[in-house]
Amino acid sequence: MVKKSPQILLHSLLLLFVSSAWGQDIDVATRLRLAQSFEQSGDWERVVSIYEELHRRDPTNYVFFDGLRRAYAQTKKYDEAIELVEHRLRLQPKDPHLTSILAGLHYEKGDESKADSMWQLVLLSDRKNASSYRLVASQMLDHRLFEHAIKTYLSARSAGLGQDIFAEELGSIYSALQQYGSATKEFIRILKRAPEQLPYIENRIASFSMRNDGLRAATAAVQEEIRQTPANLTLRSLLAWMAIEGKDFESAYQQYRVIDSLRNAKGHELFNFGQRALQERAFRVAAKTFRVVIEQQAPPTILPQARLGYARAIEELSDESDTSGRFPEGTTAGAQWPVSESQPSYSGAIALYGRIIAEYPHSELAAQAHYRIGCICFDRFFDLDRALSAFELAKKGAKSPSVQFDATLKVAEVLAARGNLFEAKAEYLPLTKAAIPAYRDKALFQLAELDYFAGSFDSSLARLGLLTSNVNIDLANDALQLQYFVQENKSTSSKALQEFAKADLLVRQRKFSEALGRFKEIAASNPTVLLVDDTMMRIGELQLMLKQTSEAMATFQKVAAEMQTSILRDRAQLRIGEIFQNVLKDKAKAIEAYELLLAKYPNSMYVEEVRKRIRFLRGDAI
Amino acid sequence: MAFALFCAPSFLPAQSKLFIPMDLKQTDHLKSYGVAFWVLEHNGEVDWLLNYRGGSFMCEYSDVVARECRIRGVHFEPLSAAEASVIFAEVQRDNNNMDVVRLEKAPRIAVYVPPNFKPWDDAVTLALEYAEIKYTKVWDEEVLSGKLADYDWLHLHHEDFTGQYGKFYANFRTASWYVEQQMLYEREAKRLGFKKVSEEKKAVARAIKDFVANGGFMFAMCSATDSYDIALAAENVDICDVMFDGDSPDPNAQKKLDFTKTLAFENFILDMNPLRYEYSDIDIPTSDPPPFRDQNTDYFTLFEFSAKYDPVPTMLTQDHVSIIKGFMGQTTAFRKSTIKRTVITLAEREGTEEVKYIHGNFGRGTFTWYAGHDPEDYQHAVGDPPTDLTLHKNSPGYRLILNNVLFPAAKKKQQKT
Repeated sequence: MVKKSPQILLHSLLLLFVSSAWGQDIDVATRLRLAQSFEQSGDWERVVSIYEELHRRDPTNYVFFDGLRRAYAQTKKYDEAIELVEHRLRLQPKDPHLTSILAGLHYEKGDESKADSMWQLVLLSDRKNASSYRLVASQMLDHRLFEHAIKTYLSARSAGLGQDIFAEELGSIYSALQQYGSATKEFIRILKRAPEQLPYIENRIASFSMRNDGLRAATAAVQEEIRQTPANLTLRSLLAWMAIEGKDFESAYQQYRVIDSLRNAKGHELFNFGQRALQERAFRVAAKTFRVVIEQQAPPTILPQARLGYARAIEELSDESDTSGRFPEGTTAGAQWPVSESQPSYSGAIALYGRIIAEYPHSELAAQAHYRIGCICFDRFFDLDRALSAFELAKKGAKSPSVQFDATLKVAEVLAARGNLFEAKAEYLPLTKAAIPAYRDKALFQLAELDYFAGSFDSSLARLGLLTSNVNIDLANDALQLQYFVQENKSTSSKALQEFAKADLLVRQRKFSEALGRFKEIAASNPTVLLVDDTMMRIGELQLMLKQTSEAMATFQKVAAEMQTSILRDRAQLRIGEIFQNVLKDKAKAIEAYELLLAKYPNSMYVEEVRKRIRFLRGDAI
Repeated sequence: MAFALFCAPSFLPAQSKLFIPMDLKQTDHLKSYGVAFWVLEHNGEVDWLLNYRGGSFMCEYSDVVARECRIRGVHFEPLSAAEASVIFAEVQRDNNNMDVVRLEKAPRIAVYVPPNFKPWDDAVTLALEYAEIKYTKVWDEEVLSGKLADYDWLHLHHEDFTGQYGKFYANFRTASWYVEQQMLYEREAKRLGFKKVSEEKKAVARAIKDFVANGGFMFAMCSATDSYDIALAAENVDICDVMFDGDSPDPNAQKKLDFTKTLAFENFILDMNPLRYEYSDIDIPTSDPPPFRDQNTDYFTLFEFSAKYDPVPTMLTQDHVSIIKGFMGQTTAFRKSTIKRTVITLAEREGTEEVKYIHGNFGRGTFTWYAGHDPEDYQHAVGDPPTDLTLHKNSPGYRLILNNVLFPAAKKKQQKT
């Protein structure tokens, strides 16, 4: 027992020492966590006292030192902070990190020149070390000294660390300072070194290219660089991208021509750009681009599509010169206006589609070309025979269901326009079982219309009921309108409604004069039926289409002034305003007519639109 | 133009007055203010019938004004002289809490906004734009060079007068708009001779205070209210952290606040944590963390004042309803205990510490502050689309803003007390 006692004593002492040291460690860790917690809540006075104690216990511990330094700075105890860092610097002389921090403290204290000289000292102590520049610039940025940081980064370049060093950092600072030209020049440096970074650089420039001044400055910077290195494809791609951003497709085209040639891409680059231009509705540039691709004898992988693209662009350009289907500014979209005001030439587009059909017979491309020819013949020339034959060929040749469905719808539409209602129905019926809901609904609505034209109102209403039960579909409004009209007039004036529907079919067939005569007959022989106001409105619209302006005016005036129970009086008044505004070009009279609508029909659905038009005509800055 | 406006023959000569009701019959309450302003602009006069059918307007009948009402979609009723007299008699009867205030001159309006400002950032400019009331944008340079003297009414955008960039640091410090804004403000401060943005903003706050003292009308919403008073209280103390102004704030900032310098608030506690989206405890409920509330049960109530004895607060609280949908903002409401006793409460969330709408006098002018961001967007967040006021033509919350615009047009009349 006695022998054992020194051993026990030794063990006990060891245990005591270990547990005391362990206890101390726990206490230090707890206090550090406490300091960090106070730091987070912003209780800096407490943070200072805890870190002071911790630092006293272990002055070599960097965590305690840095915490105390932060706490002193936060509580504006700059002298204490400076002394603390200087003391540490005595242990680690010339430490660039500490010296840079010390400079920052001098700056915060208000001694800018001392801060600056200390930062210079850090840089001079190791001029070839990039980290020193980063360290100093980072301190400067922390103190929002952006111009100083720029100078620091640039001085690394003059110290021989390479002309591209810190391009990313400088680009970011310039960009934040809205010096977009300088920012772009830095990004160009990155791009020249690493062309694969193009998407990243585009992304960086996108942060300011939506601003006009940003895009201008960036474009100028890239153009200047291209003048120095004209064969740099990455820069040209960047410039083309910027041109597209600014919707300057002509400039983008110029760049892609060079890129295609320098890359020996055999038209691929141009073709891709042409597709983009077509998508963005830059038809003129798209046409030019596709033409070049075709003339360059592009490879067969892209040539057929380029031909189709070219024909589409030419067709769209013909559309641009066609004003027949366009509504004058400020008129309701539903209003019908004189057709064939101009006769654009689609012959170029048709010839191009014809060549595609000849060169790629029985292909999907040929089917698309047939479909486009059909559209031109039907929508523009109302050449029903030619349109029908083209749509039939498209339907037969198409492999993709959407082209096939589109062609079928068009075939039925042409048949209806020819008066072959049964045949048209036969085309629509299979489509009512199509997998794509949009085609299904469209076919159903067209069938309801055909029933209406044929005077089968119950059948029409049954089909319309299927459509109006789901108000979320696109055609719900049209279906509701027709449904309401048929329901309202079927029971009270079925015979007149039948006549009215027949006349409507004539309108669909573009037999306007004949339709006008029919409507006039309906109005004359049924002066008391409910749909007489609708008839008068149709008469007015047709007179307007046939350029019988004064007659149209008189018709609308009659509806507005004499048909006291009609719910269409506001629409008639609207049309009067539109005739003054768009046909007679009489602003004052148009305003007067619109104001009358506001005064007489304050609850009309047209008041909001009419208010806008008056203000537009008055030149109000709204 | 005045001649054209008021001498234009009417369709019906018997019509003497044009009455614009502001109760539930009105089709577009917000544009009605615009019509009243338009009449004043064209040298006409408008009678504001306080508490009569929701605070209606009446002016001389003319076809030109009637036409303008129709074009702007404002409902009006032509009245004969006899009908108008009946209304005037009813309004002025002693036992009715109603009165007539004559509006004589269109106020000259300035809105304090930075150059990169978009109108949808701010409910007041949205309301002014919608009601077609003209205003001029001013910013720091104009304010500091004394240009405010050219205006009657100044609206403060959701500005941060403390120099902490809206305290968006925690969530948006890397967002390009935040970085750009900080740079823009710093450049502007330097250009105007200030070392720090916070110092410049304090100078702007003082200049605005001088504008009010000299008879100006100040209207502020959301965070422009509390941040304004905080800037005044912190005139001689740095409350901005290092990320805002490059150095640490004064550790004793709270103790050094001078509440005698503020307009509306006192004894508030600053929230100087840069990572928290809150300026002080004036705002209730606190914005950080954002409060969870059911907007369907969040309403505030307008106080009723005596129209004949307290015409100013009565004008400011004219509305077609007295209980209004609540809406949040960086400053959602003012904590009752931090409001000075000299300030009048115009609206509050009943049974709570939350005051929504206050008014006070300073020097020869007045200030009216309205908490919350957008009366028709319950919780408007950065990047949210602007409120389309064509869908809120009858917004009671927006009406309170427009009451303020017309209030400086009122002819001063002898107080009854």
